[in-house]
Amino acid sequence: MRELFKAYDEKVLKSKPLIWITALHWLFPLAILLCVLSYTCGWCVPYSVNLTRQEVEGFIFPVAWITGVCVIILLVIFFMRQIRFDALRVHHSLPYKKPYLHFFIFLITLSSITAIPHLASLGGLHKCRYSIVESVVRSDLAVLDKGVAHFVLEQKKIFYSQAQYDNLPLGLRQMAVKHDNDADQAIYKSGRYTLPLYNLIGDSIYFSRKKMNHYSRSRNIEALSLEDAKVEIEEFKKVAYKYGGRFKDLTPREHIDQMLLFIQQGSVLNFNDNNQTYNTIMNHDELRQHYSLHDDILDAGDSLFYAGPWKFWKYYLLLPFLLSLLLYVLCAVKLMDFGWALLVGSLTFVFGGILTGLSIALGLISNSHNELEWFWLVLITAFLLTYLFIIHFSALRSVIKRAFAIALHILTPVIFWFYWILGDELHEVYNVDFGTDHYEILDENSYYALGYSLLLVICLISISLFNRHYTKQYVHPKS
Amino acid sequence: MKTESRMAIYQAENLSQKFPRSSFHLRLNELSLHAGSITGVVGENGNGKTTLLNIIAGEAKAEGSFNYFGAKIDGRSDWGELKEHIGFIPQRIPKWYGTLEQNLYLKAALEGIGYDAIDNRLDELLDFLDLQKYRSLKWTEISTGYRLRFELARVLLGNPRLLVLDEPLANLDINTQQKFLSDLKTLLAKRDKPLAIILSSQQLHEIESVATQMLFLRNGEAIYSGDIAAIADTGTLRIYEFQLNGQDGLPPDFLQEDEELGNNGPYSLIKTKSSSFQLLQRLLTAEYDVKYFRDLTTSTKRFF
Repeated sequence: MRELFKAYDEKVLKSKPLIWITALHWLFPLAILLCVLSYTCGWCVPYSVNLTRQEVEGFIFPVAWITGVCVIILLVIFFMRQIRFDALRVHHSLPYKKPYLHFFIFLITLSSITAIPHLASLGGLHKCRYSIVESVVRSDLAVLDKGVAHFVLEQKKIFYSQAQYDNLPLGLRQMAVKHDNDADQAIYKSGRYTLPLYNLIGDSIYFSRKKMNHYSRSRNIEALSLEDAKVEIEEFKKVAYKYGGRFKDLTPREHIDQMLLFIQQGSVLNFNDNNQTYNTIMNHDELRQHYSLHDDILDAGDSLFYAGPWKFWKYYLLLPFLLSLLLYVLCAVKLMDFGWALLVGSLTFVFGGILTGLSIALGLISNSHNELEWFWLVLITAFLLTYLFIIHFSALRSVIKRAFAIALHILTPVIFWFYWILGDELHEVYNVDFGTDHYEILDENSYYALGYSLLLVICLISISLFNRHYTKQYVHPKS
Repeated sequence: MKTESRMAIYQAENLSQKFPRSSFHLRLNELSLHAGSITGVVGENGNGKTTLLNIIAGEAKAEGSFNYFGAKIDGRSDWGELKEHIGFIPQRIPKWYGTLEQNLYLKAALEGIGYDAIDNRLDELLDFLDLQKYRSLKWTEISTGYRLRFELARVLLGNPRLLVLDEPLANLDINTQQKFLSDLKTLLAKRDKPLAIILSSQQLHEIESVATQMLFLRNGEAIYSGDIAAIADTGTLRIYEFQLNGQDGLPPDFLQEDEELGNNGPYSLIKTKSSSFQLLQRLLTAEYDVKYFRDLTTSTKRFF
């Protein structure tokens, strides 16, 4: 086996030297193998209808942790190899003649390495999706979401604005309590009246809906005939049985009476948690767990199946991208210069921190009217101009100029992101001052998505720009 | 020698370099390195040998007019491209990581030598430099002399047209020095492409045994620059260096008209019109026991 690898390594060395330098030929297959392993571990989740979120977490997260350690080890090996066994550096042929090729080789390797732990979550999600009939689960969850309103015991009241109150039936209006000085008003602008959650007026049930896993303070009230409510309760119980729900042996009408009694008693009891007497679902938390898991399976994106949506992979790319940029810079310059650049970069942050601290302490800037943001804007711009001046115009020694250039290259994404955040912050103030809430052309998500894309583009451009500088510094005769 | 042997590989005119905060000033009116030539740069320490070689290798900037491989250098010159034809071995060779063979394969592959030809090319080179049996070792497992030869092998894989060697003989034993220099000479004879070699050293006799031209630097200035055979034309008298067994020097009555006696450490120097045969005959006739004798007439040592 060892001989086989040696022969393969030598063949790559002789025929694809650039790939051999970066170790892509063995690190990439190894990373892919670990990805498959991680995915397979995730796939081994023993799916059943009665599986809970915690059980899946207990399966996926340890795999993610263990593979996470593997990732760190692989990253250290990869970086060490690039630093120590970089034949181009040793043979003084800096910088790279094909910068983008090198960068993308780094990116491919680092992307495959850093993907390993996430594949467990993806494998788990795919296994669960494979094990269910999506349309059936989706309709089941819809039934549960619809019927759960008849089983909600944790909430005492819902809030109504004056306009909503005026549209309520008379019977309900009589039950409503007006809150002139309710502290909640400050938070919930529409909350002037409160009503018990579940009411029976005549032959109609008045209640508000909420999904099983979502909490909402401000909801519309809905009216349903008693007969329809009974059907909903029956359907809920029927589906909930499938997902492990167990109920007290009550008819729908008895269940509704329990709910009403709870509301009535609850107001007297001031709604303590001691509501087991009224709870007709015997394993409420368990059912909720099963529901949550299936909800996650259908709409992956939260902490359990975070690797499911495409959006995650889009932003996941940032880490290997920035690591590749860092590694590219590290390999394109002399180690000593890189060390100096790190020092320059760190000192810039320290200096910026001291200046900010002093300015606040001396009362030159305050937190109001975004003075701090303006201060940072000026400070970062001043730093940027200073860097550019030192690199291009100063008569300082070339080692200092190189250190500043390398530091600027490393800090390029950070500087851009600072500007982007400050742009958002200062833009918001502008809107508030003019009293408009929807002034932006882009909403916040689109603004940051655009920023993310621009960040990647700017990093790519920086490779070409700085490579010219490194060529001047390392290939051209030095003063 | 081939027809292109007099082709100028490197030419410099009015070369000048000053250092800030230093009175040292390197200046050369003219320097030409021709294909097929070995140029020895000699001089005492701190006289500008390394600086000059760094300038020629394109590592250091200098004032003046420069010509590499027939093309004039200006602000738009592609140094990356130029340096692909310059093989530079600095005094301190950076450490290699991995096996020596891996490094050589890598260099060969980067130079575009095809997969099928790479083994033959490397074998040929390692045979020539007598390095075959060390190829699978690591940098730390070989001596300084072998490191130099491996570095030479690596540089030669790049097929340079100009080879710049800074003090290659330093730290080498006498046998290794001679082997290395004879390798250089053989290399020039074997090459089917034009190549010029310039090397600096303190080992005057060894360098002069292979060099076709010499450059003697003192305080940054060329005291002598030209063909080795023309060194004798710089004076009217011949110079000999010798040492006698059991005797510190020669008595003044040994000297003939127009002869001068001096000394250089343990050695005696004599300036004379006599040939080496005539002088040796006089010494032996006077029954002096000659321990060491050398003709410095065509050596740059006469400038020290």
